[in-house]
Amino acid sequence: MTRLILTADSSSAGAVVSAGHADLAVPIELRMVWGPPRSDAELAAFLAAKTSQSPDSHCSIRCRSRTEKSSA
Amino acid sequence: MLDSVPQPNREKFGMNGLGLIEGCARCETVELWMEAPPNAQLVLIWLLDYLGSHAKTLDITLRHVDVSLGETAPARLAGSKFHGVAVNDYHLEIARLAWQAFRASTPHAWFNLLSRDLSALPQLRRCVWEMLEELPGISTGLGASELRILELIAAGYTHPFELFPHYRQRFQRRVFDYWEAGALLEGLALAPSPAVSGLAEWPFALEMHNEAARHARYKESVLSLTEFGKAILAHETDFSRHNPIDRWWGGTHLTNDNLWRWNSDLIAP
Repeated sequence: MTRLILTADSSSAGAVVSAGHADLAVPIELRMVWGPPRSDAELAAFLAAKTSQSPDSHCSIRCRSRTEKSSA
Repeated sequence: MLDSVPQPNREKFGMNGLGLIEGCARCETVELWMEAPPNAQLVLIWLLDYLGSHAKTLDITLRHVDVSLGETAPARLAGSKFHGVAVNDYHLEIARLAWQAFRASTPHAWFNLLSRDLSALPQLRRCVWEMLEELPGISTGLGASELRILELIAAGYTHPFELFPHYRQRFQRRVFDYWEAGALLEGLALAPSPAVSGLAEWPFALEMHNEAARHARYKESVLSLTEFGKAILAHETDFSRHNPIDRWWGGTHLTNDNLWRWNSDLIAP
């Protein structure tokens, strides 16, 4: 039996697994409060199967949130 | 999506190459543990909007988490119980409305959420307020976190890292993270009419963190308020009257000509 928990960041994901609440925890690490809104397609790609997204789309979203300026 | 899970774990649980919905379908239980800070609540409403009816067919449980999971000792967290409910149509409807409102080209629909019953998502109402408070203030032209940075400098916290949100009690605001706070400080210090002086290094990016000398210069910056910054803090002048504004708030592009403001009420440009 696999218990999956979705969290909003990796430290929370680690914490729930360490505490025994989940076998597997997936952090959804998107910064929604910063920068221009992402398109529906870009957001959907983040959650899509690997084969249907560009090789680095996941990384590009995460990196963008780290580096983009407010005027981006 | 599952790329954020280490490869051995993905293989162990048969998740390699799967998207969210397929991954959830492989599990016996799926739960959403989204904390209270606004970004986590925004992830929650987006996720519920994305999942739609799948959230019900997958029998996903929503836990109302009111602690910081990463800051709670594992033993204590192991013994903690958080109220959980199966995701239902009402959760999905509120999430859809809120997500559409956040992405709208003005903050109006987001503000109107305050007149609705949001209790199905217990931490959403506070998220709505906290986001509205990040709109430019009516007299200062700054969001709540920017103003908090000025308040902390005025209170004697003069080094950049003393001003960052990881000092939760001190910073008080929960909207922005480490990197975003660095960008806010830069915006205040490098503007044509700066509110802050003394920032010794920029831009606040990974490159600077990877160069020890630059990072040390940044860390040792001794910040102070300019006369302009002091006047803003006293609500005597407006940052936006003397500086270009160009930032995003949800789907709203805030500029000097499109400056939605907040003063315990939403004020249109």
